[in-house]
Amino acid sequence: MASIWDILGLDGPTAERKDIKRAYARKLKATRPEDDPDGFMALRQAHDQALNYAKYQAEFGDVEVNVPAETVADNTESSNTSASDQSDVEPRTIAEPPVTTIDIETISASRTTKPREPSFSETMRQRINALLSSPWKRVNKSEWDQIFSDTDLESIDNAQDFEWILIDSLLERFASDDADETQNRRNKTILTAEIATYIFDQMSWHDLRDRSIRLRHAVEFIRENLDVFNRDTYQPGDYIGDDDGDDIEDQSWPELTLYAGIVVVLYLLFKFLSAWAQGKG
Amino acid sequence: MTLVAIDLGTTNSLISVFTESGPELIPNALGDVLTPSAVGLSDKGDIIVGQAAKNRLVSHPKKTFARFKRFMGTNRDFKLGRKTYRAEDLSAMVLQSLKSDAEAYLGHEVTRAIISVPAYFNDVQRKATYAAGKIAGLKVERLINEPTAAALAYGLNSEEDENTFIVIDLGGGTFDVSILEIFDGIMEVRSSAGDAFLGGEDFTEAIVREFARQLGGPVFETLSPAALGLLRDLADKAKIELSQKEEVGVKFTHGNEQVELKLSRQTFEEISEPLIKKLRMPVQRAISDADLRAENIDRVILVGGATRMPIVRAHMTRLLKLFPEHKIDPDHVVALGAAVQAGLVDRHEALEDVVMTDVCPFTLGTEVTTEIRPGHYQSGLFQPIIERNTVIPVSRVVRNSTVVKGQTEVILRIYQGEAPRVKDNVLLGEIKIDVPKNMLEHEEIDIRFTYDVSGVLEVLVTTISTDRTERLILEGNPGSLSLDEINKRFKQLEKLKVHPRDKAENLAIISRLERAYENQLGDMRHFINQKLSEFQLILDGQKETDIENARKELSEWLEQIERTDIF
Repeated sequence: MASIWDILGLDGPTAERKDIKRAYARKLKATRPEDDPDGFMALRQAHDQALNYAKYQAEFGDVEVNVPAETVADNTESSNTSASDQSDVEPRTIAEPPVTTIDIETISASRTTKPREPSFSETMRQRINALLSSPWKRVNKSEWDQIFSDTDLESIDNAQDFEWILIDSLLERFASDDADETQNRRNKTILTAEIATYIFDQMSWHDLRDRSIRLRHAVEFIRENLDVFNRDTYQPGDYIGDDDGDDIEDQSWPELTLYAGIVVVLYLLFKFLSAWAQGKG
Repeated sequence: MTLVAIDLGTTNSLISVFTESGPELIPNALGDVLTPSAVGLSDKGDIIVGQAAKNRLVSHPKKTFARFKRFMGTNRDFKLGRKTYRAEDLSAMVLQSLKSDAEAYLGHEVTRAIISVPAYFNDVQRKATYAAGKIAGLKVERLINEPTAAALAYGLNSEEDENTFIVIDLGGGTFDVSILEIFDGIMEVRSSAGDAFLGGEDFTEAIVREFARQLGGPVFETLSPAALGLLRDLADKAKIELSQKEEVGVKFTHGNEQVELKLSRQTFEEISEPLIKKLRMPVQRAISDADLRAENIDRVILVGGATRMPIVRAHMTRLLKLFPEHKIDPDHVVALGAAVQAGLVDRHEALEDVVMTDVCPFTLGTEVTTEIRPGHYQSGLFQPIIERNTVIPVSRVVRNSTVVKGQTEVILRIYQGEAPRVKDNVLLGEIKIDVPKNMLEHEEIDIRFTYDVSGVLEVLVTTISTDRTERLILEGNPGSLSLDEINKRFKQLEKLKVHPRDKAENLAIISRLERAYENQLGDMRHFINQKLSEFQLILDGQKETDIENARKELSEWLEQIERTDIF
């Protein structure tokens, strides 16, 4: 069985993304998808695996050896980490990326017309935290409106960063106190149901079909911790994010009643027993 | 035998061919490369396609159809005279007309074609496009995604070696976004996203509603189909004018009244805001599916007539923070790129070093039932087999087992979509597999999905214990045509009388006069009628030079009249 490096026509493993792509391009011209579908599929699989290897090496491999291959990780991970990364940096120093990490890709990325003063992410993070910290402001729709109507949010990159900043900030709120059983109930009072629903509307978080798994999970968690109206604001038949679990509940509602019944009985028994114990004591 | 490329659009269609000097567009009988995707029945009962039919949408709205691409693969009926047709039949008529244009231009018969489809067309719509080709008597060698075709057209003139493109394709009826990477002569589609029901026609529709509001009263109920057709025609012209001007006025005639309607760019922006909002999500998804940020994109390419609208351009600039390019005419670029694909398929020497790979834009999978607790099952779950934006061709296999021991058959339903529950996805077909009755163990089956370069799916199911394999021909969808039906329709269409190609120019002038008549009053109407009869006399005289001169004169005269419609 030929190794992926053989299929690509490389001498051996390499973490250089460019080398892998070039080798793939060379082989592809002799293995066209329409003429040799099976050959192409094997080549493509080798290409994907090699790139995964390069990406893994860049992320977890020996740092010194793999510095030049860093570009892969930089690109692919940026959407996930940029929000939190930038919060660690002083707003004004962000204009100059640290010299060591400069490579072709970051240079081409910095050609953007976007102003580089206090970064968008940083200001947004501060604004959202300020808003969430104030018990009065955070339940005021017009305060949220000001944030959502920010024209900087039109840019797709900014909007994507913003989405994660908002998610992070909300998640931080939920975890801010020591976790206990009442935490969940307390979370639900951070925002009124109306505001929570408004945020979900603005972020289009009701329909998560097209979103990444990571985002789906994060938003689902937020939904569980907040009161969000679904049925009232959406027509029956519309897809609603929490649909996944619905049928399970629908199908097994007699059991749920049964469980609820058992809980009630146990509770009464406990009450009775403690009353009896007290009476004895 | 020449392989032609066809851009079968919602509003306009084009046909092209790859030649020694590169891709070339083929003009129709009127000398235009754009043939309106409109089909109608003439007063004599023959089929009219193209500009004449488009004009007749105003004068003969009950005998003319347009925008049927949106109904490809559905059971919607179009009644033309005494016969009813499907969108596939009407599309086939457009294809046939393009085919005869190409034959006249190339001087020999054309039987093989590549047809472009929106990247976001689903399996049912793709099969319907194949069917339309077959009904028109064409062997469809390949379907190509429209944004990919556009990138091929641009990619050939790319100066740089390595480039990441985003192609924004807003056509008449569909919206596609694709991200492509070019390196070392390889063109790789990284991701595609889109909306199969969003296009320039929706912006026209918004203007029609605005005009209706200005007219006041229950316009849609009270206006005749002809008047509504005229209103739509004017709205379309106003939309185009608005790309150059800040405000346009429109003269609209209905009954015995002439009304002036106004539309400013600001009003247009307000009424089209909901549509503009819908452009965002596919762009965002394509970028994140390609594992990129907008700032990693080097070039933005605009494709499709609707991207001429300044609001669309401005919106894309704001989304991506990069100025879009439109060096190649957005109406021509897909047909030009599809011709490059034809050159690739036919192994043209000039393209020896170019390879293109595409992706499947949807997730494909099957319905499964899982055991959530012992004895408790949940059905209706979607099991993805080929994830969206996987490079094609691709073949993936999963192993499933029967739900209960002793089960003797398995019903496998194939779906396409992104929702975790199959009820929210598109059903592509189903297959019944008999499995041996086994009381001791669960029977296992292997499901193999193979998705080819044209975006068509094949499903193979193998029962492990018997090693028997069954192939699924996806016909279960109520919208799809069977092979027999396609052949029957091909024979029917062959028998239809199509308006002679060499008379197309005359018919275009007549229909244009008739259209102009609808928007005039009193004396002007008499005058147009007079011109119509005069032209008929010249046609009866059968002197080619006289006819040609008359056409030229009338065309200039009509231009003057039409100029007063929009101001």
